[in-house]
Amino acid sequence: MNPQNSRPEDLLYRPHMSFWWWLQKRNYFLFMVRELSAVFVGLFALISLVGVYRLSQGEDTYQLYLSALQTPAARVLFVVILLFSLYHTLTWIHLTPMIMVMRIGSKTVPPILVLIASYLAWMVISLILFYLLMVD
Amino acid sequence: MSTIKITVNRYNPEKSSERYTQSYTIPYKEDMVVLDALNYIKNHVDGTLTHRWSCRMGVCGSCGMMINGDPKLSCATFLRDYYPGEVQVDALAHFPVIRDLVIDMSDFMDKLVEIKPWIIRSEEKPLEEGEYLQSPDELNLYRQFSMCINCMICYSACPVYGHDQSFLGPAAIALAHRYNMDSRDEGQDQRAEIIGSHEGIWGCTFVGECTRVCPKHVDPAAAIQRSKVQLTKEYFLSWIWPRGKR
Repeated sequence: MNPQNSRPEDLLYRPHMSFWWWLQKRNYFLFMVRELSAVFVGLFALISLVGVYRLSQGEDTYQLYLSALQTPAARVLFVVILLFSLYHTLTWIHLTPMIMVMRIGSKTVPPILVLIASYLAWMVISLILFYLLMVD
Repeated sequence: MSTIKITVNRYNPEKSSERYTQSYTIPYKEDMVVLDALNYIKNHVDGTLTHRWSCRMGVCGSCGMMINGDPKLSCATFLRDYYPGEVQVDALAHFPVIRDLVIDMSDFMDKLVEIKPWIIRSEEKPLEEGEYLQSPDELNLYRQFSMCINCMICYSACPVYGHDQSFLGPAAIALAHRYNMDSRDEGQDQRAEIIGSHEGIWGCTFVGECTRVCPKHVDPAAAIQRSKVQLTKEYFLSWIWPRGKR
């Protein structure tokens, strides 16, 4: 710090942030939910990776893994994961136009078009994945 | 005559190391802003009340404070939005308090200088060659970010800065982005060292509250995320196509 700008430390009052700061404003809370949603997205990736590992161990092991995913507790978990994943995806898609500024020549593409393109890309990729996983 | 209650969170280091609240009931008029109320208290009720202000028209950025928990310019916040309820006034959050509503802004001033908020040229052209010209399209690339009045309201809204004061913060990064986007500027590499550091853009978790509270609609959150994209592209590009050869 520039010494010219400093003040006697004992005369300053230094405020401290509350541990519950994220409950003080709706936007802070929604931010924390968005951060938390990443944990559930990661959890789904982890469960899928375990599936690949079980598959490598033979068909019997893989069948056990599949039946474990059919239990009521697993179904509830997957609904929760789906909801958090949707929240994660939608919040980030809606932030995309703010981050990505598309320029064509000297003109800036309107943010709404970036948003629409993001939705279209999401749908196309989802359809391709759905086709690869389901049509066989 | 209608009245309104103004409660101020005060601090006087000559009396106590703790803060205390004091309430004032003053005459209310519909066209009064919070700054008018504080000036009324200072002039007619309690001359010891200390607050900063200058222009009274949302240009100087001096009168930022917490008003009922939200960081706002007190000259642009009407009492009628809270009347008949009370108005609670506090110093800007996350900053050290010198006295009452006056915060120590030296940390921000240091950071502001660090990002070199001026046009940097690798070589100045001679005066007789005239101005550095710029098209309206080039101006529009950074214009929004040049509206910052350094009021520090975004710092008060930023939980990252609240937790860790080494974070460069929204306004400083928005201003760095403003000069980086200026077609006349050639100082991107110099600023990249500061904004690309751990305390710079990578400290931001994109809460986005800085943008919501900005009284000049600067959108610092966008500036930070766009700087992240730019520096990342620059990093990978430097591997395949070093800057010196471009």
